[in-house]
Amino acid sequence: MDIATAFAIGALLLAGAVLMWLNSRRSRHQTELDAPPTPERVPSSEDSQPLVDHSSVSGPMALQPTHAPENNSPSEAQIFVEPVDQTFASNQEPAPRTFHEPALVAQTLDDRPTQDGLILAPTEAVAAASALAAPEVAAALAVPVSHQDAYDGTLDPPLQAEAASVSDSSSVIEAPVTSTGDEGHSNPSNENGKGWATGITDHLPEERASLASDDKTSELPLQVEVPSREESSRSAHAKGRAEVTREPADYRAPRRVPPRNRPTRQVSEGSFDRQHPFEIRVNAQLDRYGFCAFRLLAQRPADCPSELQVQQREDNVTFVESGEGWYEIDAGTALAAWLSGVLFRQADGEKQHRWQLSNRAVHVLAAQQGFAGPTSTTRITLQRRHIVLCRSAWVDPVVQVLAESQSDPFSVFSEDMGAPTGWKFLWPVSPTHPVEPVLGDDILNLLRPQADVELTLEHGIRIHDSVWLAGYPPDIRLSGVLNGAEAVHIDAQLAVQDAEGFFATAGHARPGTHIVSCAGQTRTYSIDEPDAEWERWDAYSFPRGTICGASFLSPLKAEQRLITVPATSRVLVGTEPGQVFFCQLTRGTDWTGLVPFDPVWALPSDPLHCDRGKARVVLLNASLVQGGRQPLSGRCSIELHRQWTQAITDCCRKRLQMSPSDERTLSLWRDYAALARSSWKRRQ
Amino acid sequence: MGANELLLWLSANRAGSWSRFRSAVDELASTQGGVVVGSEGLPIYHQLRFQLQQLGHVEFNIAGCEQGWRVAPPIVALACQNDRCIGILAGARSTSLLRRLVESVSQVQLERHVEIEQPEVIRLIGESEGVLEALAARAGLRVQSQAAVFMLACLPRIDDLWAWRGRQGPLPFGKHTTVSRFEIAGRGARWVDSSVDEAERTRDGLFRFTRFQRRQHYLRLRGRSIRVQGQIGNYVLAAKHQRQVLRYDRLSRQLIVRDLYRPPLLVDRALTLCSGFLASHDSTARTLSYRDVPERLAQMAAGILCQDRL
Repeated sequence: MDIATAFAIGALLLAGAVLMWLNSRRSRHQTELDAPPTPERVPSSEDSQPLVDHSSVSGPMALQPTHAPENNSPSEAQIFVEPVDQTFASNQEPAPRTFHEPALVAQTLDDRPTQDGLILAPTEAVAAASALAAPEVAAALAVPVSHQDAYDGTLDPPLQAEAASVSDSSSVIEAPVTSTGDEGHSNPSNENGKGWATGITDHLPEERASLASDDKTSELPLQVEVPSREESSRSAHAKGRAEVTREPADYRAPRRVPPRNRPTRQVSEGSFDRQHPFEIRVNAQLDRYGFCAFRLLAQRPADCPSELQVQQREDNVTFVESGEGWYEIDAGTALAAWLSGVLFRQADGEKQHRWQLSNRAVHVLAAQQGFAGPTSTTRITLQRRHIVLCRSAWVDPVVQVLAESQSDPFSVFSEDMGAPTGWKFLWPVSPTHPVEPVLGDDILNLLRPQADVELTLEHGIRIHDSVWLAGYPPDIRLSGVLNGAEAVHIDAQLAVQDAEGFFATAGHARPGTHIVSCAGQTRTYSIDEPDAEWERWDAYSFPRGTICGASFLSPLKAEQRLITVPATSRVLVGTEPGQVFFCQLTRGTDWTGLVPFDPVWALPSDPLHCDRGKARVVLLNASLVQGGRQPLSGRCSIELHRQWTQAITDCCRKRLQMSPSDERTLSLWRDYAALARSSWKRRQ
Repeated sequence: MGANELLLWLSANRAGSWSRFRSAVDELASTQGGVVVGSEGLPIYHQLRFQLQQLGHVEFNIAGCEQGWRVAPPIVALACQNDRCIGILAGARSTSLLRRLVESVSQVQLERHVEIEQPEVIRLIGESEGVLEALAARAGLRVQSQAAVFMLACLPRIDDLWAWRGRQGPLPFGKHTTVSRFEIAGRGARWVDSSVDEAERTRDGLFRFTRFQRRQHYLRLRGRSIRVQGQIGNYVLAAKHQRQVLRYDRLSRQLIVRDLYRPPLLVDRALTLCSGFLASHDSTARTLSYRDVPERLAQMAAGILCQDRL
């Protein structure tokens, strides 16, 4: 036997051993899948309170994360149940996390495997064996990868869609990471240098269980060389920015662990990859009929305009300013999909921005300062009203957890009341007593209110930031449970709680800055009375004046007079030659308008052709008559002078009647007529 | 937060963008049980906007506040009728200003009327202009004598399209553009579906182009397209067809107009400032009624709107 033959036999034996080992793993895995779920962490639907309208929950019951179906096929069960927590909890040899979910991802998400470094070869051992053994053996070893075929046709299209959304997160669970990348996240599961893959299993209760076993991932015998997200991002960045982190990161629920000191990382200016993405929040607007409209709000960077075009994959999306420091995202029909996580990018020359809503199945919304309507918050708080928006498949466990903390009923609403497709919302959720968190149940722990004290400022008129208008101070509310010795202080004065539960002191509404403190928590707010100075501006400009609000301002230096004259006498003349004004044609019996001088007479517009029986020369201002004529100033233009004299002389020629027709009026009119004639002759 | 608080908030911030206004109204709506549709069927933010404009409190999307809003300075708009004089508080408000006004009241009757979906109407009623001017001086407020008359007196007739900022230009078109034509038929008028082609073929008519909920009105005059305010176009067309849409009731001193023909904003504001109250809408008769309008003012308004007679 030569060396080559021995080497070939050895390779075949090695491949066969690996194949046998894999088969044994699969059979054991399948046995575990068929086992019932852990009772204390997987609530059954029978235990849930009758708060849900189950009629609206139909179809994908098999997809519900609470329990695996009894007679499900292996392919279906592999989606939902992952028994690794049991194996890890008992310190048994850790099972290889299923290969099937990357396969499913490959089926549903076009670019995910390559992007996240999820290679189709399942393990290093398989890859090594594949390199050594014959191609047939390598193909046989790759059997688990091809399990995506098992999903084809086994799920109804809507279920596949649901599975796709679910697998969006589960796709990354299966990559046991060996990198030492550290993104600086607070999740302790990745503090041992295992990177991002260990802390993002938020979607299903079973997946959440794997969080407890994150420390074991490095011990997996079948490991895939998967770069950490940082490394992946860095390499992608080197190839071009178009490939950078197309998918949003998965949501990691806050966990109650003591903070650890970490070395601070230097973030270079303008680095696209290192910048923390801006926040995206879910906002809801409830109307009086209970209909709820959901929308996404994106944080507005300081240097961005009021309207912005950003990119989500290959599509353009519009951000429109909405409130102080936020954009409203024009989501359209994509809202339901984007609620599961979305990443937007915008590049404007040197400035580049990203917005991210992390991948999650449950959103908790509550009234917040600066937002209209309930908006995303980190967790449920005691004695506050919330909307809980969750995927349809999550309704049962969410209802069960919420029922533990409150006695008041709430309802589950579906699409007909505004919930996005594939989602349901629960309203009003007002927990009344705290519930202890369950270890490892991070997502549902968000719905278990803690006894922690929290100070909130509500109502009043908030001018901006933490400044309230004088006379309309905020109401100070405390949620949580106080110990007997703790009390609320405002500006170091003991605050008193009123009947509605708000805290106040004698001076908490006075102008100035106030500090509220209780049990180590502090909130600061200011009461301000803005200067009562508003400037007038020319909002509407017309030739005869400008208007702003209810005020009018004439553009002329001379004051304008408001005059009403008969509509038949529309030519107004003043004391000085050249003071002539032609009123606009009007439909009524009178004309009212502004005249830039004090008119003495109102004359017909065409005296030579008017009806002498009806037309009159009207004396308007008796005081001017008594005061006498002013001397000719000579400042008027030739044309105005001609018009003034012609209007008077034409009326004289026509011998129109006076109004009033007393002797004094006739005498005055004769004076004006004489002045007009002499003036006319001088001009001639 | 109600409409009063909204006006205080606007006054405290002085000016802002349209989206800030919308978010403030949304906040208002969310604290009032989620009222999103006003009593007139409009979105609540549009309804509040119109009412704040009509009362002369806030200006929207005009010179000095393009694409946004700006609060007008506070002023007492006087309207003297017969043996009494009414002062209406318009423009910005603040708690200190209101406090000063209340404290300064003497020989004057102060009325505060709470209205739906609008700030309360504050009216000062005295025997003469002098009394109200003295009160305003004590409260640190300016006075606009005969506000409605001056406002109407400076307005051009609506057939002077250039003075009303009519602009000639091509008709809009596009995939998402819907077109309506204002049809005056019989005794009524209505908007009917139309098309860009029809608008281009029409020699005289009024067309409404709606794209993404934004409306633009184009008047076709002798084959030319002129972009105008919708209300201006309505009245130009009504005048062209010699339609009488205004009526004045001398007994009740009410100016009544068909609701499809709400006057342009500044005429509307002037008529509102006669009493301080917005026009009341009769949904059965489909009319708007302005209260306490002197006949002289009604005639001025009719003249501006090219209406032959009242």
